[in-house]
Amino acid sequence: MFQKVLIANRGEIAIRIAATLQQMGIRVAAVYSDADANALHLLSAEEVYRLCGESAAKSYLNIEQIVGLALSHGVDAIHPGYGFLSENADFAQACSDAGVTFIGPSPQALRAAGDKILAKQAAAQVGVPIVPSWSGEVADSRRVAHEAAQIGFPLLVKAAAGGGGKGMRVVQKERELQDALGAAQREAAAAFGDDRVFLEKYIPRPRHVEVQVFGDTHGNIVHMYERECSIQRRHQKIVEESPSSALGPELRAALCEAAVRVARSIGYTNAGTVEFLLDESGRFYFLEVNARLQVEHPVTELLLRRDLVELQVAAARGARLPFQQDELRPEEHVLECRVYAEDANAGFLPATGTIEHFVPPVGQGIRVDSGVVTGSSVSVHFDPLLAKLIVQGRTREQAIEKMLWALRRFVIMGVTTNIEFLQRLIDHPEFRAGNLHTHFLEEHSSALSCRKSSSEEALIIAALASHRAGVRHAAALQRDSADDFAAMPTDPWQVAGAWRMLQ
Amino acid sequence: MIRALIRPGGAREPVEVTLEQLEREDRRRWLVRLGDHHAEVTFEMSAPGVGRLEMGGRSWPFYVLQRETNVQVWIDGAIHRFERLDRSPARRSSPATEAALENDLTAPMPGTIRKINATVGQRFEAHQPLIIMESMKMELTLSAPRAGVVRQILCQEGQLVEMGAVLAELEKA
Repeated sequence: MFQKVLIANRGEIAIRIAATLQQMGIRVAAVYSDADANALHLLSAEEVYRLCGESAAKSYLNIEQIVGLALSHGVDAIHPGYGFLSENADFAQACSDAGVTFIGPSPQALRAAGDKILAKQAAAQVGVPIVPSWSGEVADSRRVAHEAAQIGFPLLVKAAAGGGGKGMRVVQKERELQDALGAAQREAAAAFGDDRVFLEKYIPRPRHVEVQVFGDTHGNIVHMYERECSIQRRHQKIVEESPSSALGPELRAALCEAAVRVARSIGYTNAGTVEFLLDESGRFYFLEVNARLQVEHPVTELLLRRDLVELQVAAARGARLPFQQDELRPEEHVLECRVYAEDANAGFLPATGTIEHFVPPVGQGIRVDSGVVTGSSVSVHFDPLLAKLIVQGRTREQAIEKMLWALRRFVIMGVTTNIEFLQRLIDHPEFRAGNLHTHFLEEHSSALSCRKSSSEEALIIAALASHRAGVRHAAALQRDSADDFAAMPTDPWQVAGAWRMLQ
Repeated sequence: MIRALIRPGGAREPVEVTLEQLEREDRRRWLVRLGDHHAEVTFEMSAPGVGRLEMGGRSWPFYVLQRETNVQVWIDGAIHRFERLDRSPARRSSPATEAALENDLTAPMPGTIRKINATVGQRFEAHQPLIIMESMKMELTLSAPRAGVVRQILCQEGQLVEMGAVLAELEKA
């Protein structure tokens, strides 16, 4: 058993990991950058170590310093959380070289998952579909036409050096192909100085469905069912759930089995996630392996009533998986919303400030993982995730109702949040119907944008509260001047000098 | 009787609310007049910024946050923003400051200046990217609102700026 574990992270995930370590009777060591000297995650730890770095975020990326601290303080193992060093193979290797256990996959598995091209090849080799694509000499128009037909229409012409949609064309029919190739090449040359393009199958309105996998160091790998994360903005997930409303029993079994096959093919150990795109006809395509504990891992924890961090610690110690695949049976529906400090009405721009009121909802089947409290400051240094609100219900409808109930009781003031946006999103008829895809927010943006609501009650409260504040302010001023008067020495013994002179 | 002028967020005109204490000894009971109708309410604050309003047989817990003349009220899952105007409602801004605002490139969010793609005296086209900011792992490109010339640059690469900070002064070409 580990005696002491260092959490090389901050915020809500550091607090969440500490909770499990505490439960397991393991001493918790936390680290902090100067910007986090008063951060909440330090309260969860028995020992705290300061990190130096040129910026707040870079402090948590300093491999040498973190491993050095672990060694000098007799730390047995390091949990990297998510982000920062969590998928860094060099960090895992440095830990291992120093004799400190890295709670996560092996450096080899991290490298295999980290190379996106190799990971796709590995998936294809074990018969897991990847998004069909072709790259080659596009000047050979007969060859291109043949390859395009193999992929099928609609397809995308994409710039090899691409990004941000530049040099990208959707081609609906074969006769549009040549024009699209020319246009994409010109655009790519202008934007990136590189006119190479390739063909890829276009998947309209895809869903993002991922599978939680878990492996021990004895060759056992299980899946822990899926999470659907189709609701995204700027490629960042904001709502996750399980089970996915897109999967029937057969498709679910095929998807989960494919995830295990990919994980096995790269010798995966510990907790990981295999991501897929799902098209409208129910075909799925492997995207990538996320070799870490995911932000949305509580969805799986509530779904299966298992503690993923506890499993991670045990597997890192070399323990065998404590269950067989068929012992994992989801019985509930779980929904998670990410509460961000951002202005959903202004393009989801991040917001900063000091949290003046933080009152999370409390109830049966409601979990809040957060890293802030009233008085916390939300700065520009880190991710604007304030809290994750996770609810479980017997059915999806019940989970939705509970989520709305909880969102309507979640008070955060002082920093703009997306709580009201999430209420409109969860209540949207298409969300309720389970018709999700990764462009959902763009497609329904007008219905989801803020409706100007006027509340007579709020107006009355504003009037009464500001009147009351005015009265208290005036009273305080009066008290101050009274205090000044009281401070004047009226007791003769206090003006001893003058008194004595009179004597 | 107390008169309060309150402008709801997004509204142009303020609303006049009059407040009258119903009983001399009970500071929780008020008669509130709003336009042509009125209501008797019970208004109680149990802790700073936390309270309960009773009106028309219903009861609402609320949270309130006041910063200078801005008042935010959380009620029933939503936050409503108001501005309290005192006896002489200050004009929002003079025509001169409005013109100045139009010529400034300001930070729409707090963050770090990543890159400045402009020099003093430089001509630029409408929508040309001038400054790149970064905040919470997100990059934002600030582009020229229209064609013009850079008059002054008021920030440096790597600098941390507040929301609303003037980053550059621009003028029409």
